[in-house]
Amino acid sequence: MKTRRWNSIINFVLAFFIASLLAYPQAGWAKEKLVLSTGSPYELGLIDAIGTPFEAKYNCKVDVVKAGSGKAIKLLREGKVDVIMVHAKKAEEKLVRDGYGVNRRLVAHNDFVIAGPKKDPARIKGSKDAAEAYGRIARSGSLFFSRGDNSGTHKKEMSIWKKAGIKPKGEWYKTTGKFMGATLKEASQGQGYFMTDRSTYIYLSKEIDLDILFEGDPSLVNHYHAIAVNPAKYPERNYELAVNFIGFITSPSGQKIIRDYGKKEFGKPLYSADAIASPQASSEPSGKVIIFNAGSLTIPLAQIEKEFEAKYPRVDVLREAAGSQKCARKITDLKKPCDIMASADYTVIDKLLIPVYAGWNIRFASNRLVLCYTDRSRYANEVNAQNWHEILGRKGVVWGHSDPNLDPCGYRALMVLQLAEKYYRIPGLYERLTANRPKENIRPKSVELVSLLQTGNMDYAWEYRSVAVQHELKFVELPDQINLGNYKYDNFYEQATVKVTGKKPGTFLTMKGKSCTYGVALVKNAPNANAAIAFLQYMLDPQGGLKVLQEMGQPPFIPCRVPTEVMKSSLPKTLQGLVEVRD
Amino acid sequence: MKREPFFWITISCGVVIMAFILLPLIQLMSAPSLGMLGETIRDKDVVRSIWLSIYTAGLAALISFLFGTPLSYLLARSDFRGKRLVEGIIDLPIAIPHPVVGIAILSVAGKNHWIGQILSELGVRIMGSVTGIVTVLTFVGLPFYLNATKAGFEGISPRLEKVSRSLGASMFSTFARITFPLAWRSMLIGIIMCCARAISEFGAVVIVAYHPMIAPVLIYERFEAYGLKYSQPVAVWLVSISLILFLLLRILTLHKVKEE
Repeated sequence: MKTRRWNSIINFVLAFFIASLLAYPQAGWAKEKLVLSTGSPYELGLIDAIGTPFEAKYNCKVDVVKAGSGKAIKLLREGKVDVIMVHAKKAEEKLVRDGYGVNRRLVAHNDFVIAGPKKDPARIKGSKDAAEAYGRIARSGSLFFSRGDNSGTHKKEMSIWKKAGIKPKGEWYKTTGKFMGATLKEASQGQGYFMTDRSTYIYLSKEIDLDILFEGDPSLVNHYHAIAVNPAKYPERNYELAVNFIGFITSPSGQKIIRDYGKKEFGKPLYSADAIASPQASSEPSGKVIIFNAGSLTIPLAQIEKEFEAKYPRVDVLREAAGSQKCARKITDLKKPCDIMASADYTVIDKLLIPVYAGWNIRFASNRLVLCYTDRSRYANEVNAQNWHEILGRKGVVWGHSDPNLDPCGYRALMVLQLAEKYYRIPGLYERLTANRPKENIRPKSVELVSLLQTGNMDYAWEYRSVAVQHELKFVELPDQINLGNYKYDNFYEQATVKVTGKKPGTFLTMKGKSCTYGVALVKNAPNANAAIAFLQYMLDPQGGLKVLQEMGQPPFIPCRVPTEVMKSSLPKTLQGLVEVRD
Repeated sequence: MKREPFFWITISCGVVIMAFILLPLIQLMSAPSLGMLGETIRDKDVVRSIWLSIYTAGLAALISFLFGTPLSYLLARSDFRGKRLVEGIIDLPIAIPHPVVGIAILSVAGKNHWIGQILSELGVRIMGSVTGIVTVLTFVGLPFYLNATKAGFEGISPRLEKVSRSLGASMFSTFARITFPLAWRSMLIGIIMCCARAISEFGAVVIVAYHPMIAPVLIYERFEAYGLKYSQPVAVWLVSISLILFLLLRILTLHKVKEE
C-alpha cells in the first residue's frame, strides 16, 4: 500500500515536471521577448493598449519593467532592457551622447499640472508660472507632496524649485518615494499639493479629491521619447524588436492608438500623439526617409532631396526608382519598408495601395508627350504643332519611340498617334505613320532615344516633356486633346488602345489611353512618418518641390489636388494647407 | 606514397573553381522544362535571333582574321618605336565598359560626324542594322584574335622563315607556305576566342541595335517583359548551341593534328 502511494506521488511529480517542461517553451521561449521600461505610460494602461497589437503583429511578448524616467534610463544604460519610453530631456540626450541609447524618437506628450485641495489654501490659482505657484506653496507652508525618486517628474519638480530659488525642506514637504498614481492618491488623502501629469490625473480623477489649480506653463510640457538600446554595447539585447516597437508606436496606427487612448474611459485622451501630428515639434525630423518613386521622377526628386536635406541635415532621403506598378508591388507583396510612394500614374495608388497601405493620394504634377528633335534633325526649321504628322510621314525622316512592351512611354507614343488621327480627322494616319517607322527605330527605354537624337542617328523621338526639358532638347508641344497630359480629357484618351505583350509570350494586354498624372502617398506604418511628412511638406510646397518640378518640365498642380473633402481632412495638418479639393 | 599538402591545396582549389563555374550554369541549364525548351525553339523569333548571333559573330571573326592576321604578324616579328602603345591600343576594347563602346560607335556613325555623313550618303546604316551589330562585335572581339595569333607567331622560330627567304621565296610565299601551316592552329584558337567574345556581347549591341535582335538582346527583352521563366530557355539554347559549335571546332583541330 505504502509503496503504491509513494509511486503515485512520484508519478504525479514527474508528470508535473514533464508537463511544465513541455508547456514552458511554448509560453516563454518560442516567442521573442521585448523588455520595455517606462513609468506612467505603463501605469495608465497605455502600454497594454499598444502592446497587444504590437505583440500580435510581431508575434512576440512585451515585458514591462515599471520604472520612472531616471531609473529606466539607468536600466537601458546597464543593458537590462531593450527599449525605454521616458521624459527627461537632458538625461536622454546624455544617454544618446554617451552611446548607450539609439534611435531616440518623439512619441507623445502630456503636460504637468499642479493639483491641490479645492480650497487652494496657498492661492496658486492665477500664478504666472509654475515657479511662482511653488513659491506661494512654500511661503504659505501648505502641504506639498514629492515623489523624491529621481524620476522625470521629480527632476522636473526640482528644476522648478531651483527656478523659484527655494530649497524645499520642512514639515510641509512630504517625500513619498512612490510612483505617480500612488503619490497623487496620497496627496488627495492628505489634501496637499502635488505636481502630476495630466494623464494620471485624468486616469484617477474618479478616485481623488483634488482640483487642477495650475496649468499651462510651457515648461511643464512633458515630451515622451522612445529610445532603443545600442546593439553595439549590448549585442545580446533584442535591438531589432526594440526598433520595431519604436517604429510601431510612431507609425500612423500606433499614433492613433495613443491619440485615442482614454477617450472611451475618461472622455478625453490621456496623451497627445506627437510623432506625426506636429513634425516641427521639439524633435527635429531625423533618420532615413525611404521613397519608392517612378523612374521619371528620379531627376526632380534628386534635386528636391538635395534642397530638403540642406534644410533638415539630420534626415537622409533614400530613393528607389522603378516602374510605378513595381513600386506598389514592393509595398503590397514584398512588404518592403517604405515611407513615401510617388507614382507616375496616380491610379496605381488608388487601385493598389488604398485603403490598406495608404490612406490618401495627392495629385501633384502632370506630364505629357512631346515630339523631340534637335536643330540638325531633318526639316527642323519647318516642324510645328500643325505639320508634325505630315513630316513624320515623309520619306527619309528617321523617327522612333520606346518599346511599348517594356516602357509605358512607348505605348503612349502610339496612343498619341491614334488620337491624332481622330483629332485631326485624317483617316489612316496611324497606319501610314507607323509604316514609316521601321522596327529598328524602337528602343527598350525612351531615354535611350535621346542619345540617338544627339548623335544624329535619329531625327525625331517621342518623349515625356520632362525628359525633353531635362536633356535640353527642342520639342513640339501638341494639343491637350492628344498629348495625354490633361486628365480632363481622359474620356477622349480612352479611345486609344495599344496591344502590349502579356505575362507570357503569345499573350497580350490592351492598354487604354489615360493621362499622365502623378500621385504621392504616405505609406501606412511608415517607419519614419515624422520625417516623411516633413519631406512631403517640402515637396508639395509651391516654393519648394513644385518649383523644382516646374523647372524640370513636369508641370505641377499649384496647389496640389485631392478629390474629396474627406480625404483632405484625413491629411496630416501640415499638408492640409498645401492642397485643394478638386476633381 | 605520401602526397605533399601543396598537392591537396591545388586539388581543392581546382574543385572550388570548377564548382563556381559549373553550379550556376547547371542550375540555368536544368531550370526550364523540356516542354518549355521545345516550345521555345519552335518560336521563330528565337531561332532567328540565335542564327543572327552566330552569323554576326562569325562575320566579326572573319573580319578579324582578314585584317588582324597581318597586324599580329607584324607585331610578333618586328620591333619598332611605339610598339607598346599599339599593343596598348589593341587591348583598349577589353577595358572599356560595353555601353560606352556602343555610344562611341553611334557617335561616329551619326549625321553629326563626317564619317556618319559619308556613310549615310553611301547608304550604309549603323543604327539598328546588321552592319552595326557586326561593327560592334568586331570592335570587342578583335583584341582576342590579335593576342592569340600574335602569341602563335611568336612561338614559331624566325629562322625557318629566314631559311625560306634565303632560298629565294618571296615574303608572301614564305608566309603562305611556312608560317601559316605552322601557325594556323593558334589562328583558329584566335577565331574561336573572338567568336566566343562576340556571341556573348550584350551591352554594346543593345545600344547600337535593339532590333534586329541578337540572342542576348532577346534574352534581355524576354526577361524584362516576361521574367526569368521565359528568358531562361532562350539562354539554354544559346549556351548549348555555342557549346556544341566550339566543341566541334576544338575536336576538328585536334584530329587534324593527330593525322599530321
